[in-house]
Amino acid sequence: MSEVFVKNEKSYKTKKIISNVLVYLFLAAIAITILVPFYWMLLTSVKDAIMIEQTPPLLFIKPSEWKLLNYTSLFDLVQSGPRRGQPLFPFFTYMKNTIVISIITTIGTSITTILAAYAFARLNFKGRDVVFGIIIATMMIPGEIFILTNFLTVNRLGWYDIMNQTYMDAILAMTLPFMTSVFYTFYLRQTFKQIPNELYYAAKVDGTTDFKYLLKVMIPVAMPTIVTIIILNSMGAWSAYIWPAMVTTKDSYRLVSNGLRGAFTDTSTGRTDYGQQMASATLVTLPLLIVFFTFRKQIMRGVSRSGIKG
Amino acid sequence: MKKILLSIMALMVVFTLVGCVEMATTTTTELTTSTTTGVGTTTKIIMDLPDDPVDISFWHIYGADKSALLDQLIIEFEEMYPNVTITSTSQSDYNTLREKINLGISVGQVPTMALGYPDHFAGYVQAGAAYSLNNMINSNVRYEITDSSSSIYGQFVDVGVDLSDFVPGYLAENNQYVGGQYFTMPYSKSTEMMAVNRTVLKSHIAAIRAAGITISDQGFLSHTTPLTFTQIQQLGAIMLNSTAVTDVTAKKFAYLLNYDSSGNMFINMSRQWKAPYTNSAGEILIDNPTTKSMLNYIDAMFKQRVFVLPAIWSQTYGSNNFKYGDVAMTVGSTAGVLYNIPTTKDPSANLKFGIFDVDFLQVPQTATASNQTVTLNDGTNNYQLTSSLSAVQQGPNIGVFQKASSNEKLFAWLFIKHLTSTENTVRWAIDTGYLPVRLSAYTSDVEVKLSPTVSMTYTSFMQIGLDFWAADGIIDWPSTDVRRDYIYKSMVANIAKNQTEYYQYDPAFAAGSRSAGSATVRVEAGFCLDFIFNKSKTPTQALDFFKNQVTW
Repeated sequence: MSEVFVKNEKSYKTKKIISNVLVYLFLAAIAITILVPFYWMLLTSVKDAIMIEQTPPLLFIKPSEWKLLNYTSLFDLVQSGPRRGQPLFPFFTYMKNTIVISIITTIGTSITTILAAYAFARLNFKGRDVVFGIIIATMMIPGEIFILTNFLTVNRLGWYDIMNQTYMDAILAMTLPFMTSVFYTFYLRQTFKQIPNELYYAAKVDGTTDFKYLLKVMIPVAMPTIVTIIILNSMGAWSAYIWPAMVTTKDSYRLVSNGLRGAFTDTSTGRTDYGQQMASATLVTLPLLIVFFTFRKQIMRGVSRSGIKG
Repeated sequence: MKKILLSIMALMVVFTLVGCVEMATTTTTELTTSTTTGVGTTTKIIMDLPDDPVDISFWHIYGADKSALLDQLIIEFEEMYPNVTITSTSQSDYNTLREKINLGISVGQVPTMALGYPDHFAGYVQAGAAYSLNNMINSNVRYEITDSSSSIYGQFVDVGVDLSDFVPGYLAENNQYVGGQYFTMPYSKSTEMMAVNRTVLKSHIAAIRAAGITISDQGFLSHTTPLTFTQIQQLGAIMLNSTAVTDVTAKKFAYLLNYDSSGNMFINMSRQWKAPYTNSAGEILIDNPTTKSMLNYIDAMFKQRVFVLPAIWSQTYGSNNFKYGDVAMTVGSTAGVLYNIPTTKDPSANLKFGIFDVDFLQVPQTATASNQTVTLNDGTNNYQLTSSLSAVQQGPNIGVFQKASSNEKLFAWLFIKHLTSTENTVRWAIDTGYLPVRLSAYTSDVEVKLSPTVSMTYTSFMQIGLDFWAADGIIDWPSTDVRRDYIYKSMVANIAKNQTEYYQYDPAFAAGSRSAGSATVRVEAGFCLDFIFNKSKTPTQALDFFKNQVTW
């Protein structure tokens, strides 16, 4: 009997080890797939032009051989002409715009998402589910389809005037069409629906208004999900590319993603200075990494609760 | 009575001619005069230049590197016309520029003027958004600058322009649109040239001469007569190693001739073989026996390592592998000349032939002249064809949009004239590496500042390369002589000039109901050769695939 038990235990342990090995191998493969582009970005950013084009490619460079010229040259100034003294690549202007857009879009999206999710989760009104179904159905339409209609709207609102677009016009044009999100509304509604109805009825008996109940009960309870939405949305706003490029008329209104696209390409030959481009990309990614590590617990909690991946 | 009638007739003539130029807010002085321009005498209508404030938006893709000079040119223009403000905006890349304009056309929000490739403007023309420059080009209006704050106060400015001073190949590309109208003018142009490893070429002088190819003692081939493909094959027999590995001791290469752009290779070779490709009507004409023969020939050349594409080294351009000694010659853009020069900055371990001498030649042709009956042999098959000299011309042009007001159109046009004036096209060419768009640039005596301490005319600039070749590369210029810094650029400028006579352009057209637009066709043409090169398709399969991709 004990032999059978020992044998079974051994078999179980062997299976467990094999299973763990397979799981860790799989996770390692996924981690490598995700990390290699980051590593390559960092590596390229400390290579000079010759190292970048070397065949076979350099997979590792000793810190003593790192070339930091790509980083320092990002802050070079224009040497001649009317723009003399201005930055060659207006990194800080682009960063400032990106931060402003991310903050405004995130605040706007959070407000509309919370209110809409609350309405669809808690309030009872006629046609609620039909309206919700229709809104959900719009998720099936690719975002690119909305570019033309959004562009027409922004133009009709006077925010896209080639000669007279102001910074405020550009900010509104870049943010307003993205201050709502069907997906986040659906996501938060599901979280809200998990909160027991009894809490709502008890609050009502105590004479609490819907808005107060939302602020005092629903939001604190759903905070991990809301934080996840905030983080995912800011990441999306941070890396937005097509729309900001379409609706800004001046270089000084652009986001860093747009600046990265063409700033390091020799327009005569089409050759790109990948070293500078990757150095700049690294600096752009840095704030996101800081945000991630600062709010790691909240992000992980929100993601693990909902099963949603960024 | 006679005087009154004459006055009325004079007024009618003035108003008729002025009407052709679409002037919105002008005051005319009723004065007709004659002036001599060039060989003939033309009548000019002298008018006062509109002095209302005019804002012009100019979209391009130039970053801070090139926009320094562009900004300077804008300031100079604004000093000439103080009522004009030009807002120049970089749209970072050509795709964004085109997409923004296309999107803007739908809501009437387009810039006054923009840079663009012919296929971009073909789309704008099709949408009715581009403005024909013909009225401006042919205008006989002359403006007197009466604004005392202008830098050209008291001078006269002609609206029209003498097209005979522009490089004919560029003009042909720019008036290919509906009715032969000019919707654009050439601006930042370049072509292709061939860089060769002169040091290794020199070591094979005896064999090259024995093959009947003229070569100087220092390894210079002809700069005025292009090599033929037959001669390229002869050079292959001399300079190619028996395996795809460079043999430094025997001075033999793994590959002979690299083409950076497979798209350009397909299109230019089609022209050289007189193989139909596309036309301005948007017809795809690649399904023909000559194109099939050409592809079979190219396939054979790939297999014999006479031709190669950078993909063999997992690269986009072949310049590095040219420097590293993997290939003897490389065809690339004139704007990228310095990428082909090995220097001490290159890792010495990679430079199989060390730091060698580089020469530049015209791109190879089927024959040294057009309309010759030529037989090419790939070692197995003969290919009969009629030759046609051809070199690609590439780079964006500049045009004005229909949406602009009459005054905006006028000043946008004057700005185009300013950018493409002899002096400014020379400045642009020397500063950016593009080529001058005017023929007079080559004889211009305008001094251009190359650096804070160095100035020279374009003629002097061109002479540097000519002197270097005339001395067979043996020069005793002091090491401090600035001419040394411009040898390669000057050589390439001379090669480009020698090719201007046979520039051919790629007809531009927007996508239609039956076929793709010219830009897509160009990309697929490149893929066609890529497939043949990587042996994933036979020439017939690659051509069929190409055809299916661009027609429906």
